[in-house]
Amino acid sequence: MGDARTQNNIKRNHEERFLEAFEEYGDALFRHAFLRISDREKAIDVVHDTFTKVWTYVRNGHEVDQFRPFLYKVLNNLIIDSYRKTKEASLEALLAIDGMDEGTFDELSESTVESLAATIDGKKAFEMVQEMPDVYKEVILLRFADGLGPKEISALLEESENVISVRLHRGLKELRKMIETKEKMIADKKTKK
Amino acid sequence: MKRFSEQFKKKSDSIRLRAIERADLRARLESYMEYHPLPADMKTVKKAPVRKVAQGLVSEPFKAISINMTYVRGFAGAFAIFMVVGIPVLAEWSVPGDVLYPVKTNITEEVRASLAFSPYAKVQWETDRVERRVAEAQLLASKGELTPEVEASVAEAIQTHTNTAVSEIALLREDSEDKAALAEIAFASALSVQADILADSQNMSDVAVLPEEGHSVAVLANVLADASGRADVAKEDTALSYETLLATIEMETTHAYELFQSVQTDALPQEVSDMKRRLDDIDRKVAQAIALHMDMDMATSTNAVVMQEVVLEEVPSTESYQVTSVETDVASEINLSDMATSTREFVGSTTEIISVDPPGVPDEDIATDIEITPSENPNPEDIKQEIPAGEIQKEQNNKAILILRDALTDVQRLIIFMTDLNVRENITVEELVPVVPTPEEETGLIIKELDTVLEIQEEIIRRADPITSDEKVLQGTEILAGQIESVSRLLEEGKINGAQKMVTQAHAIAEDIQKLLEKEPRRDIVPETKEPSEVVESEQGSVDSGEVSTEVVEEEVPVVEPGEMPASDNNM
Repeated sequence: MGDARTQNNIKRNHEERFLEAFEEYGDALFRHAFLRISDREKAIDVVHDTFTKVWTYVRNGHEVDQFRPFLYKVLNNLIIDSYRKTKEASLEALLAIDGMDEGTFDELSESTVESLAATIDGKKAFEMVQEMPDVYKEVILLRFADGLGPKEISALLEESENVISVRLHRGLKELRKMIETKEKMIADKKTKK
Repeated sequence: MKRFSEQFKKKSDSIRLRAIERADLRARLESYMEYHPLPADMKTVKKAPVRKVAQGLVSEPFKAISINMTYVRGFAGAFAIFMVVGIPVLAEWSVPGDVLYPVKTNITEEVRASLAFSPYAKVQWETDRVERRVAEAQLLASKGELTPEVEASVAEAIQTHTNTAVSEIALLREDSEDKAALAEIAFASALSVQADILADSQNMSDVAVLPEEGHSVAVLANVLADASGRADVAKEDTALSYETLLATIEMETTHAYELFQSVQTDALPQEVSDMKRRLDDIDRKVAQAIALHMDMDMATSTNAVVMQEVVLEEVPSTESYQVTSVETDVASEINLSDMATSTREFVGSTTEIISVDPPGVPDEDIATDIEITPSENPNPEDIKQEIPAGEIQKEQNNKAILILRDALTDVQRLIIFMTDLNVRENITVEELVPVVPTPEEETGLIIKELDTVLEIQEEIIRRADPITSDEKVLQGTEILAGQIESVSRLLEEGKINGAQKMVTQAHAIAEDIQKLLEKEPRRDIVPETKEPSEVVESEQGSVDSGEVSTEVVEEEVPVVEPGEMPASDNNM
């Protein structure tokens, strides 16, 4: 086996794997980006940038075992970067503090998150989620749209699982509140007619 | 929860890339991969856990010695700028002998020369270069560093630039006579200023000791005086239209006013009033020229006035003549064939006046015989004038143009004075742009002189005795009276130049009479009356030079104090 061929094989390997990753995760990444940024064009660009960055990483000689978490990581950073360019950064900063405290005991357990979630209408929740502050949106989407586990999210966001849990909890609560408020408004309108 | 997440997921799954979008995105990525292909010797690195991998995309193997390229680029840029921009800027302050001087003269100045696109601009730039050479030389001279060799090289450079300017002007002449003339005037103005400065410093140093080695600018002064002289001659030869000249003057005076406004806050009150005075003088000249130009149409009627005046001034006495003048600047004198003596001239006066034939000379002769003889102080405003109407107009036009040319030179010199520190340090504004007295000022001066004359007249009247005094004295007194009257009349009519002439004459005559009177108590000592009486006669008979008669009288008669008896000297 000549070195050249091995080399070519390796190269092809990298290229193929990379493109496969695109096919597999491209949509999901787009979805996540779009739900966070709310701008289709920008979302596509962010996804593009995510992949090119990863490609650069590969070129520089790094082996990527699992594309998925890596892609999400890069994507998330880019989304946060794009937020920094707008004014939501301040809001985010405010809310980031929110997730810092340890949280009350009952917020810590995963089960509470689940039971809380059970009380919310998924469909309506989805409609409202785009209007949430990003700090909550982030975790909720990663958890429920992208299906990442608590550990994965924790690794991705570089926060402890506790913090993620609390954030999820508060986010869901917020969602619920928002839904209820909206429904009340609709109900009020109906009665006025 | 399950329900929640299922529902949630279901809804979110509806969000996806459209087929086109996906294909598009893939294509972009593929081309990106093509432009950024994997390196030939691709090696795979150990797998890194997600956490570490996520921390940074800069690969460790490629970070050997990190030279911060930003600093390198910054430094290289700054250095390049310094070389290209900084050195020429520093060279600007160099003088002959400095290392950077060749950069200034051969590079920067030549580039600027080639950047000047019109011949007019080229002339201006060459003039600037001459000014620079003069300033450099002066700087060196003040420090005692102007060696003969350097002085010679500067002189050579001045010659070169002057010649270039002259040839550019010649080029300009092919394009437009007007432009060439304007360029010549500007060039001559600038050169004359520089020549004056150097001449001044020459004069100053001559007063004391001979200038030491290294301080003398004698050679340069000569070179510039020469160049300036030639430029002055050249500019007179080129024709220039009235309109162009007027337009240029308007522009330059506006420029001068703007400069004046800007320096008013900083300059001393004396300087401000000096400059204002010059600007007013220039305005007056321009107004005068404009009036003259507008009067061109009235030339024929002016002629009639001339003739009328000429006729009216005749006096019945056969031997007496009246003098009068026409216009403020235009004058002529009639050559009288009857006159035994040659053409009378005024010494010390600047223009001629008309003298009229005694009655008997037909008017037509007067009309056709008017000729001008040049006075001893040539005035650019004296020109040959012929009565025919068209010619008068042309002459007036030329007159106006000459006045404007003067005004233009004045403005340019004034601007140079205001803008060039070197000029201001070396020469006064009075030397550069002498004050032109206003009509009011002139009138004031004339009146003063007239007062003096009247005083003398009073004294004469006191001392002269209608019976015993010399006939000449009596006749002279009559003439004097007539002249004084004319002065007043001329002043009233605004004929200032004529009034000036007249009062000067009156003054001279009065003094002569006075001298005669002083002789009178000693009538016995007036033997050589021939000369004095000739003098008196010629006083009566013509307009003689006051100085000549005075001289003659003084030769013969020792100055006698009134009442004093001469001790000796019956030499006459």
